[in-house]
Amino acid sequence: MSDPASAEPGMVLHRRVWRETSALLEVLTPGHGRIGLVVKGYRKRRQMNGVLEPFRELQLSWSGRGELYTLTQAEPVRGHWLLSGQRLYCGLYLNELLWRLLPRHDAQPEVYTLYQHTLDALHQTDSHAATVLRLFEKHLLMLLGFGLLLDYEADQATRISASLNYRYDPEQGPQPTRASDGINGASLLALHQERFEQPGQLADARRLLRSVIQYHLGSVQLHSHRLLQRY
Amino acid sequence: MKPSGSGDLLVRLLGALQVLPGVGQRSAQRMALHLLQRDRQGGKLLAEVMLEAIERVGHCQQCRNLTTDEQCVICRNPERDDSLVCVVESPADVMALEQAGVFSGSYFVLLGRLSPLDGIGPDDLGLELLIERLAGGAIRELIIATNTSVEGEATAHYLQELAQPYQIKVSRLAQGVPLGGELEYLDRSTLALSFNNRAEIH
Repeated sequence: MSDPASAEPGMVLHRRVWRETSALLEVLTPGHGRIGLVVKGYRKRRQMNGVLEPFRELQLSWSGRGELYTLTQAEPVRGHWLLSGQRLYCGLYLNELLWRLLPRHDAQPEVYTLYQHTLDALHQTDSHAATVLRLFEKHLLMLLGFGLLLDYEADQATRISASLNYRYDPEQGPQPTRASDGINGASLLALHQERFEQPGQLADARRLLRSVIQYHLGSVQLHSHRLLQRY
Repeated sequence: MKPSGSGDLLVRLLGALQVLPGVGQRSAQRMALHLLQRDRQGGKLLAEVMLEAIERVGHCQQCRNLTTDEQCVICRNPERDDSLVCVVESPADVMALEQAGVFSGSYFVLLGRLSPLDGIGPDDLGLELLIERLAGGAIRELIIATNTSVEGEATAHYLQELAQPYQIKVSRLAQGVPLGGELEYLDRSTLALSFNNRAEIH
């Protein structure tokens, strides 16, 4: 993964100031996974600044090798996913999750597609944002090899029963429990079928996914949760 | 122990100058030699003023802009309309708006913007001061002048929600074609925005 690339599609997940006059972009690409791009003389290249924003697809060229590449060119491919209000907070959450959960230089074209489809869904104002986020989390975990076991118990032989409570082990899967803080079998099945019909099932899915994601993040804390209390 | 001769002091000066943005080893050397060889008086003045500014400049208790007093010049000015509050990200934005000379209300300076991915949340923007002013009932309009970056937009939305219970007018700076701008070269998203926000000609 050391060759320069030209006119590759990519989307900015995050941008921060880097050594006074440069910026460091965290970018998601289909062909190179998550990469770090340094934009030199960032403050002087005003024309580029407006373009290097999250939620728009770009064509990027870069040079260099190693951990960080140097951006040489950036062109917008098409318009924005113009998210506003709470939808914008949701979008920022997707970005933070991808930034923190994806290793660098691990090409996963499916993750890129999932991300864009999720932005499409958030962009439609009649979609249900909380459901969109839960499905994104579930599918992202699956693509990263951390898929949840939702229709069978951890022994992979016993079917989940809608009337039992389970304790979810991020490595093993669900195990029946009598404890009242477990997750309801019906909620596991709802997440499996991606149909949240009963009240509370979406909230259960949120709690489960959040704890599994936290397990894989280790000591890293997500910050966008603070803005997302409603979802 | 390091020797504390003149060479060492010069090295320290070079290092100290490099805290300034855009000043590296070479510029620091040029500055230091200029001050020591040609303008010691100027250097002394610079050091004194800088020390005094760093000790005395704080934040306005009303708008959080930089000032040496409890309230800044703008907040103290009786000619200015307190019922209009323009919210900006930084003191530099206040300076820019003042130079544009279009606004005669007061400001509120966030000293940052919501940036969840960097861990900068609502608590880091001094918003309790703004809420106090909103609750005071003297504000007619909140003009949101955060940047048009994704973080600026997120901040704008947060401010809008914050102001909602107080039933005051909330506005946002318009976005569009810059003066002297040519459509052909305009960023396509800006073009789309200004098209959607087009204004009727009177």
